[in-house]
Amino acid sequence: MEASFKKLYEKLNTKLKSIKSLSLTTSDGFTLFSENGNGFEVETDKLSAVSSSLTALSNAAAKQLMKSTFESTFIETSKGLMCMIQTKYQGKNCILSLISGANPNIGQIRFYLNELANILETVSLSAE
Amino acid sequence: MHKKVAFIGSVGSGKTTIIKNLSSDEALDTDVESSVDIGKHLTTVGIDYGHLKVDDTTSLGLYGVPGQRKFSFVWDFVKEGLWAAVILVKNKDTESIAELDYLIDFFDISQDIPCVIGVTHVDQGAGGFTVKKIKETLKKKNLNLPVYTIDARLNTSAELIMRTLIAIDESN
Ligand SMILES: Nc1nc2c(ncn2[C@@H]2O[C@H](COP(=O)(O)OP(=O)(O)O)[C@@H](O)[C@H]2O)c(=O)[nH]1
Ligand SMILES: [Mg+2]
Repeated sequence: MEASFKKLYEKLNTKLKSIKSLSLTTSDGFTLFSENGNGFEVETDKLSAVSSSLTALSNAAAKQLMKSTFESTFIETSKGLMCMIQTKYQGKNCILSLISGANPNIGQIRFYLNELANILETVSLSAE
Repeated sequence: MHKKVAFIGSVGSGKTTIIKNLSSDEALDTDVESSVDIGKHLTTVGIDYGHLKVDDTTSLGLYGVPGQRKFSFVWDFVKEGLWAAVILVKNKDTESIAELDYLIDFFDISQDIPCVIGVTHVDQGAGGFTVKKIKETLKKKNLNLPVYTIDARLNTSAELIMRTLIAIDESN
């Protein structure tokens, strides 16, 4: 199936409202696709590198301390939250990162992001 | 007393290997599959952490950073409060040799903290040229640091490095 990352982002944005940033990154920190909300500036390469490090550390915590399997990392701030979940794209492990707007609903974000992660596992993406 | 040792050096120089080798407990592992060709399958993206008990009163926290510069935000916090540093250089690897200059500046390496340089992968070819290049860099920076040719996979090499750091500390 073919899809556009931009369209997927826009669809997610109608559900979650004012997403600041959504990106798909390889496990080793290379950006595959990235979309930002109006007026939100983020260094995409840095976002990917940070997502990669934090996910690897979360994975290590899940495996080595909690004896379980990693699912997601949430960072909460007064301006919103950043969420990173594991996905696969074209058979390779990847990370889906989202930076929310203010007053986020964690349950909703988790639900729709997981839904998107599942979609990504089977699609072939174009940027536009 | 708990002391912090950083292992720094370019991708593939053996940081993760030497920490696994030295750690008394299972080391923290944040290696993932590399999606680009970096001459090896796995690459560190988080941090390596191992723990080495020296004696009843002293233990060392061994911190390995990702070699790729895009992860230098990890270097920033590993750099804080260092007791000692180990710089690994991959033998005959031009990039690895050139990176030494940058790393010495980034981590503020000086004569004041114990620091050793290890040239790895010398089992795959003589290390004379690499050692010469390293000495030139050190001279330019007015540093006098021990340079060893080692194999990061061997206990004897890892122990030589740690014993040297402790000896330098005791003589300072
Ligand atoms: N032949 C040889 N292989 C080494 C040596 N040191 C490390 N390696 C191998 O080189 C690869 C990269 O090492 P790694 O520890 O991941 O490097 P890092 O990127 O600095 O963490 C691994 O497959 C190691 O087993 C060495 O001295 N000789
Ligand atoms: Mg490594």
